[in-house]
Amino acid sequence: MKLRGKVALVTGAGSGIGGATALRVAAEGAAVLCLDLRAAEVTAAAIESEGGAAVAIAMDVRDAAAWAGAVATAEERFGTVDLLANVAGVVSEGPDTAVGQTEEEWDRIVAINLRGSWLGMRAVLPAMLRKGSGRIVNIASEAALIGMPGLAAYTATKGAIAALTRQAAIEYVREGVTINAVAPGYIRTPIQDGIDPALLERQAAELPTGTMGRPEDIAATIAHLFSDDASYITGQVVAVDGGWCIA
Amino acid sequence: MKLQDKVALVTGAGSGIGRATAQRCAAEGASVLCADLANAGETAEAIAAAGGTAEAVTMDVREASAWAGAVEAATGRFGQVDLLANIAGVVSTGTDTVVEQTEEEWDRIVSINLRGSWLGMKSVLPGMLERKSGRIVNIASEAALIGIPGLAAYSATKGAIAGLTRQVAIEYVKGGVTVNAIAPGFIRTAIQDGIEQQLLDDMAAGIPVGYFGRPEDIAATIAHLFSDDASYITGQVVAVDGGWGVS
Repeated sequence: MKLRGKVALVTGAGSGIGGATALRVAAEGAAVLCLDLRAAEVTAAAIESEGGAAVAIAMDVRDAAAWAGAVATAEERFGTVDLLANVAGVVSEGPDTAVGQTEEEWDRIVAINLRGSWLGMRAVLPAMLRKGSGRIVNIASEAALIGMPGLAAYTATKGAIAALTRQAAIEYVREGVTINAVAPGYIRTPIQDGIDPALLERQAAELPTGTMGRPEDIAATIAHLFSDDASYITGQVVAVDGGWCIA
Repeated sequence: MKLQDKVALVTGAGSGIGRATAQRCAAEGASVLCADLANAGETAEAIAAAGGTAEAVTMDVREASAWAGAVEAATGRFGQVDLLANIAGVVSTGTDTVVEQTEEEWDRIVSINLRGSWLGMKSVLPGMLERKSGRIVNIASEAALIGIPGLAAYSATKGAIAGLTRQVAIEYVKGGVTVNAIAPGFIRTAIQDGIEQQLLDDMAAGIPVGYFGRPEDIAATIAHLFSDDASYITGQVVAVDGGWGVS
């Protein structure tokens, strides 16, 4: 229960890594605001059925007013915001190469993955800085560490997240706030639900470990970075990727 | 108690980061073999006094036969070695620049910091690979990430540790063993005891967060990397440095 008494905001909490993070953070004792466009209430209900405290808000991370509302709700219901996990993110719906990508889809990906994470930090940091304490974890990606075909706009946003994490960490390093990122490798989430299982198996076989990671693997390291155990860690991009980026 | 029933071998356990790591592993439920040239017994006693399980072995990490003895002692007393923390390390006793370093001191530093860590891995890996399960954490350094004046031979060994950590992680990535390193920033240990207080204060002020890390900060992330929570993390060099490496 290393997050007892803390209040966490988790985006993308309706499924996948965000869902696992909300559940793990709640299991460690934090009250959780589950934020997502869809299914946030499913995760919040799961947390409550385990005896945890959670509130669901259906919101779009691109919407600054929605962020203000989420912070206000957290403060009303739980008194403060201590922890932010910026997990919401998307991959392209069409081909994502520098040549094949469209302007509309490029702008959508950048708005959700990059602008959404920035708006989240901007929304919670004033309260954290006033208290002199807070923890933020952003989600970068393997694509921020190595080049991956078919992920042009996605990679740009994840590289941006890595750099912004370092910048924000140093900007507020003396204010009691730590800001880190996790770079997940190939993690099995609903994002791959449309992919042929035989292809998924071949993709997994090509990973150094031979297995895809689980959302819980990412959630566990986010919980570590949120905890007092990690108070001297800031500005880092921690790869949780089964050795992919160093193979 | 995330290391319940595990057996840990910790070098440099007589003081500083090694002692804090031995104590933290024991507090998480592991049985610990405390290895060091001096004071390993005091650490083992402190662990026992706190209700933990520990044994001490006085050894030089440069000696392959001492490693064989340590693994034998751990196996005899606790059944096996699940976790290895290669912490023993030294800085130069004289001036450590490329020009001024002596051959004798260069060889001593390389022998302890690099060869000693390799011998440790070589000693515990066969048992880990047989059981298809094991965790190794090596100690790199801020000096593996950035250039630090007056630490030539030391930097070389720590860069070598980072490279070797990646290599060993991939070599055995399908063998159930994870191998990671921590890059500690400026951590207050007995190593700085000879330094004048005013200079120490000036040094701390030069760190982004404005203060030194504690050995416990490193121990906490080692415990995370040793735990099931970190099963999908391998080959990483995790900086625990108050933002130093990113500033």
